[in-house]
Amino acid sequence: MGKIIGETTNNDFRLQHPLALLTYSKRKFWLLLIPILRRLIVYNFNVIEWISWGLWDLLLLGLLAGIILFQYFSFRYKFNDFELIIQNNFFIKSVFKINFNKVSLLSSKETFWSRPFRAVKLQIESEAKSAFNKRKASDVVIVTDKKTAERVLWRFRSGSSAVKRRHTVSYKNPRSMLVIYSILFSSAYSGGIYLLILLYQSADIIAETLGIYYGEILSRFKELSENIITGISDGLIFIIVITACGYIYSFISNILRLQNYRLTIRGRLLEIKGGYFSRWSYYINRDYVNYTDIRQNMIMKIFGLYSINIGCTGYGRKRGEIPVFIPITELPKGGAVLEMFLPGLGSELAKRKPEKRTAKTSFFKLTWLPLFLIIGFALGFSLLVYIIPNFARLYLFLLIMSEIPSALFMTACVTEYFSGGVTIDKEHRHFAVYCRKGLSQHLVIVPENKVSTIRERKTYFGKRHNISNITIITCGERGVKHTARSVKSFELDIL
Amino acid sequence: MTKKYYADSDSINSLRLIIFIGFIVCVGGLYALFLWLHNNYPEYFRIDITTVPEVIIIASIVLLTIIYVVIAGIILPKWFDTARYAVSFEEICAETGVIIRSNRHMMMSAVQYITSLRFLSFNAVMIHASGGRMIIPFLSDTDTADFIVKAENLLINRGGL
Repeated sequence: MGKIIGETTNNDFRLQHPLALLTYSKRKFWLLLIPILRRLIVYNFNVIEWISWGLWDLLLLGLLAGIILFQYFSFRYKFNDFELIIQNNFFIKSVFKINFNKVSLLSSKETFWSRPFRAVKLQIESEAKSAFNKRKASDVVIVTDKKTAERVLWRFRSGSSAVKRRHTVSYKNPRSMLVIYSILFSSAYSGGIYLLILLYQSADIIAETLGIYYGEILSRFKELSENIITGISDGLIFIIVITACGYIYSFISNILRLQNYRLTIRGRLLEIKGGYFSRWSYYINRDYVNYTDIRQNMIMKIFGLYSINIGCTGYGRKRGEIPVFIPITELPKGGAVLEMFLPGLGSELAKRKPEKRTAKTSFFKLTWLPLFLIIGFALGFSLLVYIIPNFARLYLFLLIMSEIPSALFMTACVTEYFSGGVTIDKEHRHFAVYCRKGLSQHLVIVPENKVSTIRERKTYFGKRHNISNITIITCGERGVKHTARSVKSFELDIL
Repeated sequence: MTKKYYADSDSINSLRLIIFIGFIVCVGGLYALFLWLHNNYPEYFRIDITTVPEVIIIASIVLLTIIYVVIAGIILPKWFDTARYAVSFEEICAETGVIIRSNRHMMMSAVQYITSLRFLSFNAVMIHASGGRMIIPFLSDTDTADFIVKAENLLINRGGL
């Protein structure tokens, strides 16, 4: 066992890797530093003039740097066979321990720029809320050297409940499947936002450069695009370029992120690894997996492909990070691994239908919103053309851009009507919810002991036909909800 | 063994009073706005026909009145009549709602701790679980105490977490 709190000395505790200083430095620090350094170049390294120009900025920068150093030297940690102990002396002295048995997830990440320094970022999650009460923060984040990280991982992996059996199963996604996954799950949104931020933040340099060549670039794009479609306006070209660049950035990020993807199940421990330039690993205690989510969008449904995610506190916390278990598979092939993870279910999942299905009379209830959008946008367009006909081409463009997602939404709702429902499986002691989230269909399997709350909602009309929305809220930090809509009600006699 | 609880009907009069006060404040505020507009823009309001601001204010007052009558006269009594709660070894249930009826079952295995709340003469029990929380509102004093004792005994028998 580790030493009792109060008996520890600073000699036992370690400092983080020096690269941890970068994790403490926020964006504001760099936004202040870079212009100050640029000024030094403008003043031809005349330090006196530089200081007299930006004395207050330099003082502020010095203060921020001091705080960063203070934070770095305040944070220390140590570990033994059973627990990790953190000591933080930043104004208030605090010492806390995390028992490895209570750790739901331990992740290690080596970014491409930290690998030459052999630095690894460890993030530790438990079912409790973040120790610093920040919803999106991990319980513990430590930047350490590779050797220490491996020792911590070894302690966690050989912990009392993590690995009980030696039986190991591995799964690797074929490269072609990873390309398909990246095509399907890349979004122009995230990449486009990144590009716009990049342009905004480096406005001076890029705007100046682009400004010189803007005319040439634009006319070249127009030439190329007119070979495909005639009459494209400058604004549309700009949107297409930003969207395409955004999508390509997201696609490449996903491909690189899932390179070398490997899933290993060792008893109670799940190891999920991947990454090319930046290598990441997640070690998950199976006892803390709250649900399994098998999802399909429209295209995957046509080709019989599935993507399998898991719900575990801390996994998939960051924006854009999908908590993959098996990125993409045809179920009979991925079924062996799934069978080990969900005994009695994995090989049968493709054939299962919900026990309580969506009520036949609820077609309009499920599809009224997309219908309203489709008709509403068309009517809005007609009205605008009638009132102000000058911008008819713009309205038509906006109408097309609105109707495409509305039509996709309609397709998703119709699919939900045919495939939605709930199953209470008494044999395997779990709930299965067949639901729609966004534009994709999900089959969520929640073990009985991971159900926090079951909620049934009936409208006045639903009471007459005995139809309700059933929501299952799972255990865990966030309490994720899974709702099957317009299902025939049933007595909620608990297992 | 399952124990059932119902919303305390004594709370309904206090709620009606609070809603009535809120209604009077809102209507009074709109009327004050009406008078202020008349005093500050007399030339605009001198015309014989009803102006747009007057129509908006009068319509808002009428709408508020209708909402008040519906809530205080129909929805509140119906809600209190139909709200029911239950505690058993396996779960805590709450069935509430008038237009949309909501039936929630929280597993006792997920419950972490229970808090009782008191505001003026209103009692509520907040149940914190792994994955969310549930509020049981408008219980009487005796029911609140009984609910908490029963739930905590069941938690202790469960063996804690």
